[in-house]
Amino acid sequence: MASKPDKFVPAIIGGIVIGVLSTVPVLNFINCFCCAGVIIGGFTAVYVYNKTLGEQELIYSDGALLGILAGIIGVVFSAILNSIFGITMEKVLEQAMQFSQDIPPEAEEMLNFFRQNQSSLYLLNIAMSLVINVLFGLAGGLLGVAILGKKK
Amino acid sequence: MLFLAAIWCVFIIAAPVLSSHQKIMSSGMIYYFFSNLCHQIPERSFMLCERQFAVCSRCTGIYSGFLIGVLLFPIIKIFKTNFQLSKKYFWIMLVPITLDVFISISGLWQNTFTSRYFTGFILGSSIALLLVPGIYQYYEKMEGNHGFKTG
Repeated sequence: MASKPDKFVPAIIGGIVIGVLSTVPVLNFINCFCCAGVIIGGFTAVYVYNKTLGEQELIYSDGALLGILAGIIGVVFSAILNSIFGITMEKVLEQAMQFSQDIPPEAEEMLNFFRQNQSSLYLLNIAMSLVINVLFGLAGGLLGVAILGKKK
Repeated sequence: MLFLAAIWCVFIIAAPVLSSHQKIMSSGMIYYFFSNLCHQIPERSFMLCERQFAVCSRCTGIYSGFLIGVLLFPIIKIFKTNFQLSKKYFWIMLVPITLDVFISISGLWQNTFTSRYFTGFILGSSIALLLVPGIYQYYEKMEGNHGFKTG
């Protein structure tokens, strides 16, 4: 049985898609729809991988791994792109406060609490991004296999 | 997957319940977590104990639909052993939510709580019915390949 192609490059491409869709202003609104940007990233990784597969079968474990990897790489790319766009934690916080009439008062109170502890807010955001990106990247990867996979 | 979907839905409902019991920190954490996934506009969210759910009505529909889809699969499997939602039906299931969003944006019609919830529900359940049978069949095949089956 021929060995399967490398998953790293497709996962990086998926991660870049996630990073772009999560950080570029206006485009990042897509994540308000159940993290569609992350799902698209996971799906893209599977799409690119599927192109390299040839006659080999695309299976669910491939999709799961690619989705998770793309999600993790997406967190890294988001952080890099945030620094390129000059989006600091302070700006994120300011933005969140600006929209605070739309967010529940409980979340607003949380933000006020973290305003005094910015490093904890940074860590919390990284942890939340990781959980969200892994879960929705995984969903995107699995959807990719379900949609692109052929029964062989 | 069932466990994950159930926990997810419990968190969505737990946020307003915790908030009404003055557990501000824990409910705030849940609301903040879900603010990464949803706009959380109060006018577009279901209310419980006079507090909004952690996500809007459309997202509530998608997640609850997914949970119901996962729960329904074993029942469907009894009647149709090799059930798998076809890709064609999956794309058809995307039509209601797309129409609901775009007709509302165009100003021809203002979508409602019910339309947002049910179009989300249709999408969520169809995602579950597309994914779960495939994953199930995959694991069944893997078990067969590795000789885990005893029956």
